[in-house]
Amino acid sequence: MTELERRYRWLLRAYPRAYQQYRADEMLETLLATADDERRRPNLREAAALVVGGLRARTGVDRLGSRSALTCSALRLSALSLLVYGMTLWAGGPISFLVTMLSDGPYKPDAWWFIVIPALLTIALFAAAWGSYRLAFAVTILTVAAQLWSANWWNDSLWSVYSLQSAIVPRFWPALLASLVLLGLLRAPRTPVAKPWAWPVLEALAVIALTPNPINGWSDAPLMSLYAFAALAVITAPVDARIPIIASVLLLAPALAQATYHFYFKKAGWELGISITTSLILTAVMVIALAAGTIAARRQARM
Amino acid sequence: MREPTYFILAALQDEPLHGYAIVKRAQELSDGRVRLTTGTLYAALDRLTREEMVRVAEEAVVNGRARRTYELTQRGMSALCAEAERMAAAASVVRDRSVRSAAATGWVVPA
Repeated sequence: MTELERRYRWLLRAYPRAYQQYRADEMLETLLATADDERRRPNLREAAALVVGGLRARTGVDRLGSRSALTCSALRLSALSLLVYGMTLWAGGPISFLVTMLSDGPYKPDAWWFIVIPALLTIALFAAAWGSYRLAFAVTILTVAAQLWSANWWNDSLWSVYSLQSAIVPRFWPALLASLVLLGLLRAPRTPVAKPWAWPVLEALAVIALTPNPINGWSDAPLMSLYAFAALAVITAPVDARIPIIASVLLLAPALAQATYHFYFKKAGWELGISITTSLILTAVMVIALAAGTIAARRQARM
Repeated sequence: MREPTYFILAALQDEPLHGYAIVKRAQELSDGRVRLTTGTLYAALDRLTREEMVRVAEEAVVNGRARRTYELTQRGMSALCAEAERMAAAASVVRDRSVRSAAATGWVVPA
């Protein structure tokens, strides 16, 4: 085996195993035939195309032929990501409850919203992961109602000034945004879902890794570095157009929380704790991610 | 239809070809403009096969490696002709105007 062949074989590992078994030999034949005789290293253009092609085959985006299939898939992944994000933001309550129960013995809290809301989000996540979008939509609406009710439970109403107060934190928004995204999937043709368990597993990993809990020992660390995620998402747009679209949808949660914060504190006539520049940067990052996703989606949908 | 896809289909219109031959033929037909990478070629062939525009005509083992030869289907030929007609219609918008302008001014329009 020549040095060039060995290097090309290594690059072909970017493709999924099944694809390699079917195609690797044939691709290698073409790669070696198109290379100059004295070449020892793959040229940069070929190497980049192999890596991008391999990653696209792994994400499955190359099998989404039409623009509508790409839109449906982006909506599904956005809904699932929002539900996982919501879970990570709400998971602190049940985890601390469990830790207190284990260390100090049983106790009865005044209200159970901190258990009910993450439980509803989990049901919505499972339903969406298995492709039951109607059930997932109904449960996310129920979650939004539970969030509003939890902010007003002592005055027996769903809406008051406290509702607005509860919306100044990002964790209010994922359920509402997920319900809006799921609305777009209600009329979509039901397609068989591959690996439905992957999202609940991802959720569990995200909760363990990103929430302040006894396993990771975090207390004051931020839950998600969304700016970094957005930057990464824009870079990965040529590989999978869905990633920047999902990133921009996720960024809506903190962006809307900040907008509500400004609105709420301005209305109350109080001093703002954060500058408007932060909100503008967040909005700009979101718009850039969405634009990158839309341009890449148009390109990927063309034959 | 993107230019690489168009030239892959165009390369297959005369006879079935294997991967390397498609790369060479597409380059010739496009006057060297379309230089397909292997990653791009097989991603396009996968998609065209799924959409039944191209099919595997023959599988053989050469130098111990699998080599597939691809051919255009009727559907692929129709899509190629439709795209060629679309481009010809778009080109005629400019060419016809040039002819009219040349007739008016007495210039000779290159063929």
